[in-house]
Amino acid sequence: MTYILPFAWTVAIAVPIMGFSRAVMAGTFMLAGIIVYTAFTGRTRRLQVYGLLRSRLESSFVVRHAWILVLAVSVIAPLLLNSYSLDVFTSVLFYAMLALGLNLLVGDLGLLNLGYIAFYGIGAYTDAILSAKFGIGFWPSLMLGGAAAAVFSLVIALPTLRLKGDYLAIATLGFGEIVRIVLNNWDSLTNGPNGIMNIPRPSLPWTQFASGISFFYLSLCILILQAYVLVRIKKSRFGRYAVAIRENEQASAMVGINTYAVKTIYFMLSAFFGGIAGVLFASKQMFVSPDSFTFIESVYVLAMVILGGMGNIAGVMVGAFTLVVLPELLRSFVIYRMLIFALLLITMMLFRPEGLLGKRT
Amino acid sequence: MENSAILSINNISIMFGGLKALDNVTLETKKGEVLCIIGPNGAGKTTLFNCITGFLRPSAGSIVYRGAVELTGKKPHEIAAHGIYRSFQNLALFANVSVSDNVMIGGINRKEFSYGITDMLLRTPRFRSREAALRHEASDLLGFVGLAGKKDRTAGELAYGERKLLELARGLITRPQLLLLDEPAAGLNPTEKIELVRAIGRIREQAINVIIIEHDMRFVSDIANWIVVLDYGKKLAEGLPDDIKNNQAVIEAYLGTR
Repeated sequence: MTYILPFAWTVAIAVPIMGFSRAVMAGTFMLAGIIVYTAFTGRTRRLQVYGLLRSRLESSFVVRHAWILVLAVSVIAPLLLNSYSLDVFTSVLFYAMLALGLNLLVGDLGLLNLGYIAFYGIGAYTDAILSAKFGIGFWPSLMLGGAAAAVFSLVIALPTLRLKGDYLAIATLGFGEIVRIVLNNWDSLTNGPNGIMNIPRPSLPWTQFASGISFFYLSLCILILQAYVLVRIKKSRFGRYAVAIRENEQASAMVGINTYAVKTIYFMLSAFFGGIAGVLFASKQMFVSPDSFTFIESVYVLAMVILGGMGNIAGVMVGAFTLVVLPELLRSFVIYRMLIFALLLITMMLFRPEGLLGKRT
Repeated sequence: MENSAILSINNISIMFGGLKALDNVTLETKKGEVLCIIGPNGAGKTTLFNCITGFLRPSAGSIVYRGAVELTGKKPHEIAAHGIYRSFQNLALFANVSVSDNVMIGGINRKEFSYGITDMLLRTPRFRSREAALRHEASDLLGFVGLAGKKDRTAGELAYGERKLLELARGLITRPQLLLLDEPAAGLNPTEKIELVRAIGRIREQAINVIIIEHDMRFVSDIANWIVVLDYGKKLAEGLPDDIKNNQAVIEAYLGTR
């Protein structure tokens, strides 16, 4: 069943659009993917030997130090890539920052935020306005962009954090739309739908981050710093309080956690990281317009968090990588690209709802 | 007399819509006492706990802790900081969190386990030693309640009786001075009940005051020094366990009139 069902399902969905032979091909791809995947998760009995291997692997020295390998690859790879691929990998970094920031809310606190991209937008526009219009340098606006996002997050956090689940999701969705619409209409400040151009690239006394590659390394450093901070929080008492609130808010209050304060701080921190990513984005593109901060982008970032495994820092980064790189790899399928992408996502949710690296509970 | 009262509840009332869930209830618990609150379903026992711990705000009356601190109007986490811990009737654990983390979370108000954000970011010696001390104490307490072997499981994986013990361990790490237990014996088998009676005995020896909501009269007479009976939100009777067992009004409330 594990194999037949996704195969049949993929073919059935794809047939009306792609024709029979191509649909079968798509189904076969799906099947191959699932076989490879179950080989590593060992869900079926036949493949349990791999499962055993995997549990050995997980505790092994090599896997625990896999991040060193990943780091080494991400330091060396850009030197070998063309400028198009480099662009793709730079946006992997931006989305990883966003996904990690959103994960603070969705993964750790269990609060659904559907307007997260607003903080990205606020960060980007802060940089655009401060550096393009007022000539304030990149480094102060990096901090100010994060801070502005954090302050604006209070606007939504303070009145809505007493809400739960769907209600909070709807409120944040509204906030996201409001921010985009304001950016689109406040002509005197944001230049409306035309956006703001000529945003300067960052520089240091001894170097300019003008080339794609130097910008990649700058973003990588900031991502590493962010991931480090998040890992430290997760492994401290503060991280435990957040997870406690997700698991049982009443019990958390009862052991003495100020749930309202913890939620507000997490909301601000999450927005801060979103804002920082926005500043980097603006100064990478050298141009911002409201089109980059639509609702679908929020959903996209949320999909990364869920795909990678909620609450898992490494998983969320893998999720960001997958969702940025996969559509690019599927470019050879031209018009079917987004269809296959969607199929992969849905199949993923059906067969591994806890995400790629999430813990099965 | 006035000084020895750990908790005095004075004339509290609370309304839910048209229903008076608590109607002018007054009671007091003295230092070193195990107070049991009994009463039929819907008598207002859990509502009373919710008022004490700040989850509900009584519409009238006052709740005074140690003769000095007014608890009404305080938030749950502020009340917890005064050393009051409460267990829930239907368990309130952090299900997808490891057993030892469940207990460690309870260490929030212990100064000796506390550290700041800089300590956290830089993994200073203070961070490491305090985290280690907290982990150590959690594991000691898990040993005390008999869960030492399961500290790396998640709380959701534990059996029902074990979860009750875990909730108790999480309570003990807060170093409570007043422990409120909402039907701790419900769902336990006879052996586990004996274990629980023993554990409560040991807790009492540490000069921790206990207030228990319970239905099981045998369990209650084993541990209580004083019993308060609630019925329809009113205090029906109070007294020593033996007096309550023979109190005509109490028998009627439970069994109906003949």
